[in-house]
Amino acid sequence: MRFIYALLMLSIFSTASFAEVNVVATLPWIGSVAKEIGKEKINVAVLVKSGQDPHFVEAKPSMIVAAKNADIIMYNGLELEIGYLPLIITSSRNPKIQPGQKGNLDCSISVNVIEMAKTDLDRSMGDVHASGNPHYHLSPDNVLKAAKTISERLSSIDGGNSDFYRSRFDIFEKGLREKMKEWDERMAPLKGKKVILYHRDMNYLMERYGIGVVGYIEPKPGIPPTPKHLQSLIEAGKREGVSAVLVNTYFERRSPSFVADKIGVKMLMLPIDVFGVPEARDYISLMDYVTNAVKEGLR
Amino acid sequence: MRLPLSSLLIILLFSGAVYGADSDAESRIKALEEALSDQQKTINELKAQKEGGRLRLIDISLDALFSAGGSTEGDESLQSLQGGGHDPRKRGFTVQNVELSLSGAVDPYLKGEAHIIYFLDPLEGETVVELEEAFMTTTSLPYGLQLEAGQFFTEFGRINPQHPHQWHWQDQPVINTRFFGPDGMRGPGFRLGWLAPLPWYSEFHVGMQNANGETMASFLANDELFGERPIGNRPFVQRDVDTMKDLVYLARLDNSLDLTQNVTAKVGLSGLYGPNATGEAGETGIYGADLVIKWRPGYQERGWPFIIWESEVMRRDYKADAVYDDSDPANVIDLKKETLRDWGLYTQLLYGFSPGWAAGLRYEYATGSRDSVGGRDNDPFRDDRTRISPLLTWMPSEFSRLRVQYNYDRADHLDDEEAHSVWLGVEFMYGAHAAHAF
Ligand SMILES: [Zn+2]
Repeated sequence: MRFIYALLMLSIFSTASFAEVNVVATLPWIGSVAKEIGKEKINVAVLVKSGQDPHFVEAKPSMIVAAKNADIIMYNGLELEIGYLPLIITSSRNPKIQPGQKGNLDCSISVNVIEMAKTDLDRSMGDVHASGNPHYHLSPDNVLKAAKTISERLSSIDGGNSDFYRSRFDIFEKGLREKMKEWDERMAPLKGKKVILYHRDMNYLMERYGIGVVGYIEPKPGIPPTPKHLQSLIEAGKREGVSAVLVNTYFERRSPSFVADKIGVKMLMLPIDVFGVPEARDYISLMDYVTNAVKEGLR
Repeated sequence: MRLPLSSLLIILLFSGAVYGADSDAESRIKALEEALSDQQKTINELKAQKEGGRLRLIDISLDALFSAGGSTEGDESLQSLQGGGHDPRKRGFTVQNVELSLSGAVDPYLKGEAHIIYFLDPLEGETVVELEEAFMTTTSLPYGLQLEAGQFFTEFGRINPQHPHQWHWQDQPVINTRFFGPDGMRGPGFRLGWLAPLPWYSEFHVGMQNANGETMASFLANDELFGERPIGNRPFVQRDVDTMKDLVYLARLDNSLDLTQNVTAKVGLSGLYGPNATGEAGETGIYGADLVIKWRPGYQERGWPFIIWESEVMRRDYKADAVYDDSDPANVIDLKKETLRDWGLYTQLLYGFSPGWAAGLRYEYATGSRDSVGGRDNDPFRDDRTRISPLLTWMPSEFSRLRVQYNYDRADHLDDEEAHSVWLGVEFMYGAHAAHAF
């Protein structure tokens, strides 16, 4: 039954020709923001599930089919999708979404990137990104910038609806700015607190709210922890007085809960993307959930 | 230094203006934000000027496969038991395959790709360098079409078109060695792919390649390869390429469906047809079916856990021409026209049970009908054979891999019909991040 339903959905998706723009987004948050702006004028297909580690995604044939029918492909950029997206774009044979075309949108082009490499990098440092930390979407400022990029690009490929996209962006901006005030108020008391992260995936959030990051469960990006590293992390955590260990839901819990126990603080499991928990239905409810959870956890 | 100072100045100026004016706060904030966003634009532009985008000309990567191990069989016997050119096939160390890959965009219409390989001949220790593949792929033909032209692996089944470092086991399946020779079936030609306008993934391939050369084992092959591995132990007959009938033709249909959110299946059917090296009337047909099912749960850490179940079954109809040769009266060759039928399969299950770790089991079977000259039981490439291979893999990172594999062999051509081998493999890869097809 479920199979037939999926087939039905797919065929609706592929035959939808009534002036709708077919959008393929790599990550759930991109799909969510695009839908906010495009509403009924666009169809959105999201390639990566929220529980999946976005650094390690396999290019499935169904993703190629989605890309084949796309008018535009929107992605996070900053090398996050390097392991699967180039293959999907080439295999799709879709001229509209090839690099350099209007239908190929790197959502990072206007965001403020942190942790850009100041010295030369190589893979002895782990899974490093020379162009900076790619997990910028927990910064609402950056998501606002990305939303603007998305609305401008939608206006450009679907000129007839450009007023619609612009007004939808204005509504999105207004709503997000109001929420940002609420989040800022909620997070203000946490300024100066310190945490340990698993991966460099919440740094933008920490930076925005002035929370210090003492260390990471991973010794290097993408490299699994060693006992020696965890030991030094526990010492650093005690010395610096961290308030919690924050872990994105798709990581293993053994090492972070061990570290949290030894330091004597809580381990917080947080969704990093839309639908990571049922409450996170869209970008704004994701941030609501995350800020509430962090506030509760760091109290 | 200039940039931060000037931005500070502008902010100060604006805030000065804001203090001076007594309009509502909203518009002052708006003005401030606009100023800041203008600043951001300047910063981004300057950043782009300083760093610029990189011009990506060629993505280069190098992948090296080495193995060490031992077998109850000696090196001579291992050459046919481990008949793949990149299999571990020597007591001690084997340089299986060192592959240099170069790829990049040619122009707005084409992509280029080349793979150059190096290995050591296990018996002589001789260095071998080969151009494995070099081809171009179109990126924007209409109607879901894609053309590839150059020198490339034939798109038959799953294992043959892949490079050795994409295989989960350390050696190629027995049936691939029998049908496609030590280095896989590849050659110059073209291939046209069509992605059908269906709601699921459905791709149809047709291809045409030269039928001769050492990488065309079941077709025209060449003197040297056929001398080493004659099919049915028949003599090699040199044939010229006269018409289109002297080339080899491929058809392949691939279909894939997501059975559930976490389970994806891909089914393929392939067929090959072309002339062979037994005489003017010699022709070969190879037919195969392949199936892969992958399970990747919604929650995955670094791509773990996973289950991959992969199987292929294939059959070859080798129509051998009659041969009569009485030039040596003491040894008159008189072979009738007959069709040698061979078939075989492999099925393998790989379970990624914990980040970095995977365990697997592969079962293989191969057999044939109609005798080889000298008896099929004595023909290492046509006898009845079963191989069972458990495997354990550890990947410290995406770019390196350690494997240990045990092969239990039961083959008619072996002296005591059984062989045991253990192979330890090391692989490392560096350079551009390669994306692999499903
Ligand atoms: Zn990351």
